[in-house]
Amino acid sequence: MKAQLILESRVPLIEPAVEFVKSFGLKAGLTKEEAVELALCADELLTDVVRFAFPEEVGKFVLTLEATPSQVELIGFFGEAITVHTISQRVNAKFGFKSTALMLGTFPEARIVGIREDYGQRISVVIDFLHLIKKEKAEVYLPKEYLKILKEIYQNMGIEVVNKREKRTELPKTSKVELSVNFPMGTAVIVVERSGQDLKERVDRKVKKLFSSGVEVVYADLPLDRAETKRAVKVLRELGFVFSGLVPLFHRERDYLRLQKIKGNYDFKKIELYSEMAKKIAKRVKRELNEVAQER
Amino acid sequence: MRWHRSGRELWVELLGDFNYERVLKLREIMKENDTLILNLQNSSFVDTEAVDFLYNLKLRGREFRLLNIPDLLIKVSKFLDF
Repeated sequence: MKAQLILESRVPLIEPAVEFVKSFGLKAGLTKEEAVELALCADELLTDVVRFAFPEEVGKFVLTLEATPSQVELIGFFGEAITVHTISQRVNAKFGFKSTALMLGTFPEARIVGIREDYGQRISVVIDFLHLIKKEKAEVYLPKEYLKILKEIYQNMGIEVVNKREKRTELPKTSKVELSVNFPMGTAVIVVERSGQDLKERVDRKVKKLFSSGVEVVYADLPLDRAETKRAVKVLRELGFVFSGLVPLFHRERDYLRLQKIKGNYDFKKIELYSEMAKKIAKRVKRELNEVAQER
Repeated sequence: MRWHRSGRELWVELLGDFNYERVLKLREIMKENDTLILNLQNSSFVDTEAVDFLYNLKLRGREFRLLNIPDLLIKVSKFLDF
């Protein structure tokens, strides 16, 4: 069970949004008392965003709710905090959210509150995540390229990581890939559910087609509970994908490694980050983009 | 929000949760010497903006009374002594 609210930062919208969260909680199986507590959390979060993230003008933000259908419990919140300033990121941090990824160019360039001159590039966001159900341990296949940083991201969320060993077997002939495109935002997500021998060719074809049809950024999600993800990373790096981060519980309540391939360049001086983890991730993204540029 | 005045008393009944939007409205209608009598029978919760509002009334020596207080606010009001 998943819901996403796209909200404007206006005071009269807080209460209907809180009511929505409450009814979501009730539908997901919470008791009335638990739903009121959830509503209070949502009220606090939304009020802070409306008051402090957009102090001068009306802005837009996204609230995502997710509950597992089997256990009918909310399992986590994630926030996409813009990096034009650090206010939304600070609000997320205040509520215990931890930074797990930096997504370049998620939104088209827009006039930004409090910034007079043109921003000059698409808007990047930090993924901040909060587990609502305590997760003690993650047993995952960590690609060697990202072993250290993924471990750090997990540990920053208080999760112990066990890096499983891959038994080298032949990859299946065909990959299982899902694509979702958001044309108005100019972004696409490729979810690689199963990596096969044709992965490079298929992703390359998709990316070329997407880039020629107005998409500016392609994100690729690789499941960390599948052994072949270790090999898929190498393939996607060869296609010019770079690190984005960890996207916990993003598809079917499983953790994914997110990579990204961008069109054009980004000035990292314009990307404002709050948490130390977000800064560390950005450093890694920048380094890999430089490597890709040199290889061209 | 429903309200009426009786002398210096401002009687207010909130028609939902005691939140930031209603705090703004209360600030708008309250006059300097009003004694606020606030009925919270329709409020399932009281958020931090509302607690901050009440606490500041106390700090400024303003008189107020709360009716039908939700459980959570009873705990907070004991802690903050209002």
